[in-house]
Amino acid sequence: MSEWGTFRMLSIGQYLPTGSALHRLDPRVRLLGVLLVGCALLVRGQVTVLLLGLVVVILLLAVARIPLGHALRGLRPLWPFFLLLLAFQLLFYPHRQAVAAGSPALWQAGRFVVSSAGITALVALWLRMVALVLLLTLLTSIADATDLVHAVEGLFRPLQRIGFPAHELALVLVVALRFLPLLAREADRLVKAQAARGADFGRGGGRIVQRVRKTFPLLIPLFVIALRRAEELAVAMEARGYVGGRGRSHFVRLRMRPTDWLALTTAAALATMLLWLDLRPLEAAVLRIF
Amino acid sequence: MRISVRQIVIAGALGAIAILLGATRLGFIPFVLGIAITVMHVPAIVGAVLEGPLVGLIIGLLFGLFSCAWAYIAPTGPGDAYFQNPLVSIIPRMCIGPVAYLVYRLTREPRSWRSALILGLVLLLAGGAIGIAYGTPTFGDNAGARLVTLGAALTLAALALAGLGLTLGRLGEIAAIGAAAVAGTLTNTVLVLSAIGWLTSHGWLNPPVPWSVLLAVGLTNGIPEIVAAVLITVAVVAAWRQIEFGRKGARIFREEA
Repeated sequence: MSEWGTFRMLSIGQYLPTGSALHRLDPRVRLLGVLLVGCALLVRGQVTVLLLGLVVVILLLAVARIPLGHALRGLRPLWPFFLLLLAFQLLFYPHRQAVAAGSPALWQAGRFVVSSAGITALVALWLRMVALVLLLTLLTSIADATDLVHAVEGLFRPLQRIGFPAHELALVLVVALRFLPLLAREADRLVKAQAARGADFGRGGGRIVQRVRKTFPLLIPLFVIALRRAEELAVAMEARGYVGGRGRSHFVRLRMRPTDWLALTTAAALATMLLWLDLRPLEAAVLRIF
Repeated sequence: MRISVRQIVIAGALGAIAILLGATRLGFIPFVLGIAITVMHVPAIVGAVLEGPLVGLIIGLLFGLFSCAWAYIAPTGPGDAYFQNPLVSIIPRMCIGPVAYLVYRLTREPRSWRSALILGLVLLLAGGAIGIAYGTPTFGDNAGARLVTLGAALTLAALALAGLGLTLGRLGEIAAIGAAAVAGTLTNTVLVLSAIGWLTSHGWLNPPVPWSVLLAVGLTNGIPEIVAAVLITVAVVAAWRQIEFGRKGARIFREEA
């Protein structure tokens, strides 16, 4: 197995305690604000609007005092993917129909046509992805795992009245986050233990049944270990009198301050602007100049 | 719905496995022609079989959230462009657990009239889908979409008939777990691919991909994924519940005769 010892969790996102204004906000506002802007970017397909969204995200990164170089590093693994998307878009986009519908053809060689509509869609795809990855970097830089769990629980708490298990959902998240490094270590140990006995996972031929059975020595103990640890944890929690959501007090109490409301309103305004803005006239004007 | 401490903790632990399988690429089994099949949805099925539909749904939610985020952070192929959309990566995954649980209960404890009713409804749904695809102008001239609908409806009908056989034949625990794994995997494959097809054909998702390509992906990945999911789910649940079947004793490195 070539990926020995790489079973330590890859760093998904780093928390950067720069103590900026964004870091000091209520965790609910941090999560909700990022989600609002993210949803707006996810829905829009106009290149200029997405470009504006990218500028907004970079400004937010600046406000959070996150070095741009650090944020851009997260984009590095995406380059080969962008090229793949380019190939995909050139091959599968209905360029012919787009040209027939009035979009100018940028390049033509025999039966092969590349329409400007296809390229615009591709650029929009790239821009959206860059903006969203930077936004995700922003979120993980300004909120650590505990903040996020508090935020999820706090945001869903109003729904608890109608029976939505907000507290329980937050607890599931906590358990999953705590189990991840634990299980990663167990998986690492299992791989090495089995390799020491001469196992080789996933290599060699064989039909599907044989291939799947080769993963058994790793996957089945992993599941059983996780289930056993979960069972122990549940017993331990019940033994300590854990009874779940109702009537439970909290160590951290979230309270919205005026700055939090201000930040939330700003985020909502930004999201609405990105959602409703129509920059096509501007695009047309710019194109006319060239 | 009340959820016990045990269910919460097991949902968290199995959700962590789903994430771990994805992050370390352990959940991908290399298959012919460079295609890798995934078993990342197996924790959702195992959770549904062991602890009920709600646990399965939560594990599916965690799996979906992770695969959506991962498609942005570390994409590996053109397919990841689609998984960046939560309608493709999250909603279908939340259905894996509940469907797997339903099928598991139906096959394990057949109350003949109720199972027959549900399976009859599935058959009706399949028939209705074919009727809508060919009898009404819903799809216009889209032959690919019609073909996919026909294929999906026929698969569904065949599965419902097989389910009727299983339920009425009362084949017991192992068959029920296997049936749940088949149903859960199909839910994942079919719903994810149809979400991609539906969103791209309306131009809401780029780059567009023809229905025939989706059908091919569904067949080449779906079938081995079903086999893998059945083997792993049955083995895990049997190991956890200490159900004995087949050969006994250590068989990890016994050469296959």
